Amino acid sequence: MNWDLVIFYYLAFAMVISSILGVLSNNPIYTVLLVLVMIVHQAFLLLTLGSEFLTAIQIIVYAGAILVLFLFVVYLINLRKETTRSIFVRRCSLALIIFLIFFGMFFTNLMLVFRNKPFIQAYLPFNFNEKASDVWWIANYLFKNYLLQFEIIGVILLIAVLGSVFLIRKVKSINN
Amino acid sequence: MGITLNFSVIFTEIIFILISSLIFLTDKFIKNKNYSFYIAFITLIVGIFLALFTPFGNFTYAYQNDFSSSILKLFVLFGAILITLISYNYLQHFKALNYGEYYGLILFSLVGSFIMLSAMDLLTIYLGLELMSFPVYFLIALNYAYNKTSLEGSLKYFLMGSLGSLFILIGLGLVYYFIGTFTLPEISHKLIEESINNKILLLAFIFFLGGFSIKLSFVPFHMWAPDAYESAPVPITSFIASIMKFTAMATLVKIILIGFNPLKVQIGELLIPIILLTILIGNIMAIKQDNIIRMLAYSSIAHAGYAGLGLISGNYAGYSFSIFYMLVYLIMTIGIFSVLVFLANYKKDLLNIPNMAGLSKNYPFISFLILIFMFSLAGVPPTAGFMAKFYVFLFLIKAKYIWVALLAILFSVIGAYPYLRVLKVIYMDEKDISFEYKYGITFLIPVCLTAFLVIILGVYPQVLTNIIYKTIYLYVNLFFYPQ
Repeated sequence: MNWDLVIFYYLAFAMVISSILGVLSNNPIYTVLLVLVMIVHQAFLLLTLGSEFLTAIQIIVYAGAILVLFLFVVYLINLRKETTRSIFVRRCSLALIIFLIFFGMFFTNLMLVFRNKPFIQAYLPFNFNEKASDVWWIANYLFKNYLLQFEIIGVILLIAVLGSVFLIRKVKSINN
Repeated sequence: MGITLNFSVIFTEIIFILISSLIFLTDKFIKNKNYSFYIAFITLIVGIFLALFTPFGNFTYAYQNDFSSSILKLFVLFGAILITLISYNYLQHFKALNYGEYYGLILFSLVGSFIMLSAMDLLTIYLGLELMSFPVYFLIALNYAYNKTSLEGSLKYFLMGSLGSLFILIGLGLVYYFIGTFTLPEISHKLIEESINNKILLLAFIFFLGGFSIKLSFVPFHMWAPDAYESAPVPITSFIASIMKFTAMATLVKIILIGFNPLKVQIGELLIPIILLTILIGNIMAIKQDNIIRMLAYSSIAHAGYAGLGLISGNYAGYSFSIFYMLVYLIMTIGIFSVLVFLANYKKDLLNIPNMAGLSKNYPFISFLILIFMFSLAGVPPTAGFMAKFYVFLFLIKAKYIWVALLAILFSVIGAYPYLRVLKVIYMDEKDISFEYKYGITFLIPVCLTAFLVIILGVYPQVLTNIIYKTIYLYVNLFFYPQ
C-alpha cells in the first residue's frame, strides 16, 4: 500500500467535503469553522510537498489571523441565520443538467489524458537536498524570479483596501 | 542568461503608481477637486513620452518592454487621455462623483493594462488582468449617488470577474502541470519540441479563453455587460468598452501568437461557434433596447465578436487586423460616448432613444456627430468601421472560412438596424426639444479628434494598418528566429 497516496487522498477529500459543507451551511459560524478545517488540511497538504515554512505561514496567517477576524465580524453583526431567497432554486434542475453535461465532458477529457501520466507529480522549481532550507529557496524565488508578480500583488491589495474604504466613505456621505 | 532586475524598464508603471498614490494621499486636504484632473492629464502626457523613451529590455522573465508593447501602450494612452477629458466634462455636472480618487483609480487601472500588454508570463497576465479590473469595480459602484442600481451592476461584474479568475487559474494549473513553466516562449518551444498531448493544452487554452471572454464579453459570459454599462458613470462605461476590451484582445492575441502558436489552427476552429453566437446575440438583443447605453452595451458585445473573427483566420495578418478592429472600435466608442456625456450633462432623459426625436432641428452639430459615429458603428463605407470590418472579413475569406464570413456579414446586416433606428428618430421624427448648452473645450477636443480620425481612417487606413501589421510581423519573426 502506498501511504503517500492514502494521505493525499484523505487530505484532498477532506478539503473538498469541508468546503462543500461550508458553502451549504446556513449558520455563518459553522461556515467559518468548516473553512478553518479546510485550511488546516491544506496546510498539511503543503507539508507533504516538503515545505514546512508554507505550512507554518498557512496556519499562522489564515487560521490564526484571518479566520479569527471573520469570526469577530460574525459575532459583531450578530448573524444568527442566513436569510435565504428562492431565486436561485427556481431553475435548479436545468442548471444541474447543464452542469452535469459540461462536467462529464471535462472529466472524460481529463481522464483520457491522465491515463498515461501519473496522478501525483509536483513540479517544484528547486531541489530540496541541494542547498539550504525551503525558507531560503522561497525567499530566493520570491524576491528574484517572481519579484514583479510579488509587487503587483502588493498593488492589487493596496487598491482593494483603498477602494473599499473610499466607497464606504462616499456611500455614508450620500446617505446623510 | 541571468535574471535582470532592470528598473528603468518598468519606469512608466512606477511613475503611474506613485502619482495615483499621491492623489489618494492628498485628496482629503484639497478643496477644489479639479486639481486631480490636471495631475492625471499631465501624467498621461508624460506617460506618452515615457512609453516612447523607456529602454527596451526585460524585468525578470515576466516583463518585456519591446516595440510591440510600446506601440500598444501608446494607443491605450491616447484613449485614456480622451477619457480623462470627457470625465472632466462629466464631473463638472455630476458633482457627487467629483473626487480625486476617480482619476487615481483610472491611473491604477491603466497600470494593470500596461502590465498585461508587456507581460511575457501567464501568471503576470493574470495579475495584470486583476489589477486592471479591480479599480473599475469601484468606479462602477461610485455612481451610487445618482443611480442606486450601480451597486448591483458592480457586484455582478465583480462576481463574473472572479469566475473568470477561477477559469484562468485552472488553466494556469493545467499548463504548469503538463509543461512545468509559465513563460510564453517556453510554452511554445515545449509545444514544438516535445510531443506533448495537445488536447490538454487546448483544454487549458479554453479555460484562458473563458477568463478573457468575461472581459471581452464573448457569448456565454456576456450577461453582466448591459447592467454594468448602464449603471456605471458614462465615461467609465466608455473606459470598460474601449480600453479594457482593447487590452484584453491585444493580450489574447499575444497569448495565441507566442504561447500557443503551434495550436493556432485548432484554436481558430474552436472559436467559430463562440464568435458567431457573440455577433448574433449582440446584434439581436440590441434591436429591442430603448436606452441608448444599453443598446451600445449589446453592440459592444457584437463588436468584440467582429474583432474575434480575426482570431479565427489563424494567420498573422488576421491577428493584426483584429487588433486594428479593436483600435477603431476604441476610437468610435470614445467618440459616441463623449457625445452621450454632452447629452447626459444637459438633458438626462435624452439617453432614451424615443426622446431624441427631432434633435436635428435645433442641434445640427450634435446630430451630425451622432450620424458619423452611428454610421461607423454600423459599418457604412466612408467611415473607419467599414474599413475595419472589410479587412477582418477579407482575411477570413483568404483563410478559406467563406461560410463564416458570409454568416458574419448577414449578422452585421441585422446589426445595422439599431444604429439606423437612432438616426431615423433623430432626423425624421418631429418633436420640439430645447435645452441650454455650452460647448466646452473638453467636449470639442475628444469629439472633433475622434470624428476626424473615424473619417480619415475610413478613407486612408493604410498608415495605421501598416504600423500594426508590421509590428506583429516583425515581432513574430524576431521571436522565432532570434539573432
